[in-house]
Parts: sequence; structure tokens; C-alpha cells
Amino acid sequence: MLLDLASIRDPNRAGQAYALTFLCPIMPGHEDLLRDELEHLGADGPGPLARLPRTHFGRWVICPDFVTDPAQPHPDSLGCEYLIFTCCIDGDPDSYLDALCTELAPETRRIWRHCINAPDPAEGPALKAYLQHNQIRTGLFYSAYPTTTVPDVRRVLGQRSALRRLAVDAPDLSPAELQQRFLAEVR
Amino acid sequence: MSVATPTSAPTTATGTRGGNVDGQAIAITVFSTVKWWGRVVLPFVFVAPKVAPKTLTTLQRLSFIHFARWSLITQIPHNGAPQPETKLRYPHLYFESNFNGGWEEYIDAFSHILTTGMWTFWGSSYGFPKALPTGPFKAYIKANEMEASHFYSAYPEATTTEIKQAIELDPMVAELRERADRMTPEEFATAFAELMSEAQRCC
Repeated sequence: MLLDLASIRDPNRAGQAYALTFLCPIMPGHEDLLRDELEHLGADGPGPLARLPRTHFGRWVICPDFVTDPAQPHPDSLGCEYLIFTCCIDGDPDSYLDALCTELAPETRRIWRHCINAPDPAEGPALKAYLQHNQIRTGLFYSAYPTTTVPDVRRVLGQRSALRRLAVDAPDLSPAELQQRFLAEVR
Repeated sequence: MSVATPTSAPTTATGTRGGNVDGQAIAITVFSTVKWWGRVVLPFVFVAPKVAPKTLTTLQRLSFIHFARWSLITQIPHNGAPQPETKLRYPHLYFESNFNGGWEEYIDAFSHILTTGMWTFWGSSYGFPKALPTGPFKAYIKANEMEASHFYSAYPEATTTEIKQAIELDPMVAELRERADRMTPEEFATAFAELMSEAQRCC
């Protein structure tokens, strides 16, 4: 593996992939409302992040507080519950946040309205600034395929599936049929 | 959720709560409280794989991890009242992983393959019981893990291994595609058989 200079300069980065992490305080009394909102995001399909094609993975997690280990001399409390939002994305985080805060505005309004001092409505440049203020710097970000974008992952998976189907059918095909199907189906 | 590629693979995402699952993909989200010296040591641990990439080799052997991240949190961004001004007494280590397979198997493999590395990352965390045996470590992770309220994967039915194999296969397929329409059917059939042979060898 070559030295990844980009990730040395910016620890949020691994190859072309970028790790975004946000920690936003939830308004007291809104925790269950927010949880209900989040749990219904995928009720009718894959959820809003599917509309941002540069998203590999994403999650919303409600953190009630830090766990106090019995070996810990003193507890350490967050003081209120927090919304953790993270995603693994392709490329530039700035333009991704623009897309998140505009194209997903119907959902971001419903989610971040439960967070302390989030803009009202929670969308657009104001939400982007709020998120950037609450961004947590990554220490180490690991990607198993750091140079491959979401569209490329989907393309090579489709190609692999097509090739496997063709390999299964190949014994029953003439050379000409095999060639035609390869050209038509394996992209 | 969204499906990039149809698959007949059985569901392997087991051993965790429903919010942490999307297709074959599982989310782990964990906070642990770090001893004072972790604030000094962990930044070096984070930089090491970047200046000496071979240190990631062990992590790469865990072939079911898509993405993982660690962050050391020493202060919480403040947004004004009514958010309490939180002055953290200890640093806190945030860890998340996006992987495929069962939760139990993931922790087992993590512990057995990354035994030393586990101490490197979590040795400064209060209560870390060592990677092996795996029972206490699983209990430790369970106690510190949070369930996702929403988890999304862009290709939930694909495993990391399938993706890496497909990436490796891609240039070979592209090379054959580039010359396929200039070949006779017989030449193509021979080249296709060679591609399949090569694919079986490498992917």
C-alpha cells in the first residue's frame, strides 16, 4: 500500500473517501420524538441517504450519555442526549453537505428541529454551518476500497454478477452467442 | 434497503439489534472512556497507519470491514443555552464500523486477528478486558454500544469480499471488452475461457 498523503493531511480522508462525524445536542424532552422520526426514515424505502449518490454508509444514533465504567474514578456526563450523524462519502465534503442540506431538506427539517439551537427551518446554508460547527474530527479512517466510488462499486458488482451468469450459461452457448451476450450484458 | 446487486446470499447480519442492520451490513457504534494517557498515545496510534501503511495489513485481513473510524473526543462543540457547557473530565474514544456478517463472528475475528491492535486502540479505555478471551470483550462492547435509529448502506446485499473481488476483476473485463468486437467468435471464446480461469485464480 502506498503512503496516503491526503489522509495524513486530513485524517477524515482515506483515499478519495471521506468520513463525516457530527455530534449535535438534542433539546431536552425531544429525545423520543427524534427517535421516532429517525426510525421511520426507512419505512417506505431505503431512506433519504439513498438520494445522495455519494453516500456509501450513513447512520443516525441517539447517544443518551457516556457509559461509566466501574473502573472509572469519576463519571463523565454529556449533560444532555446527543444526536450522532456519520457518513462515509465520496470526495469533497463541502459539496456533499450542500446536497445534504438542500436535497434532503424535507428530512433534515424534521430531524434537526429537535436539536438545540439548530436553524429553523433546519436546511440550506444555515444547517450546513450548524453541522460544520458540530463536526468531530476523525482520528483514523479505514476503507477497504478507498479509491472506489459508490457508482463504481455498483458498476463492478453488476459486472461481476453478469459475468457469473454468463459463465453458468457458457457451456450451452455457441462462441458467437457467447460473444454477443458478453458485449450486451457485461458492462 | 436499496439493492445494488441481486444476490442469493443468505442473510448473515445476525447478533445485533434491528436498527444496526441494513441487508448484509451491520453498524457498530461505541463510545469508551479513555484514561489520561490515552490522550497522549492515541494520536500516535492514529497516525501510525498513515506513515507506515503496512500496519493496516492486519486490519485488511479482517475482510468483512467496509469502513471503520476512530475519533478521540476531548471537547464537545457548544451551541449556547440550553445546551449544558460540558467540560469533559476524560477523553472519549468514538468507534464505528460498517461490516458484513454476524456480530459475534465479527468480534471473534477482531479479537483473534487484531489481538495486539485491539490493545493499541482500546488499552487506554477504562474497563477494556483484553481482546482474548472474547467473552468479556463482547460484554464490554455490548455495554458500550449504541443502537442506530437509522442505518443506510448504498449496497446492502454486497459483502466486502465481493466488492474487492469485483474491483480486482474490473480491469481484466475491461481489457476483454475493449478488443471483444474485433475478435472472431472462436478467438473470443478462447479469451473468455482465459478470463474465467484468471477470475477463478484471483477473484
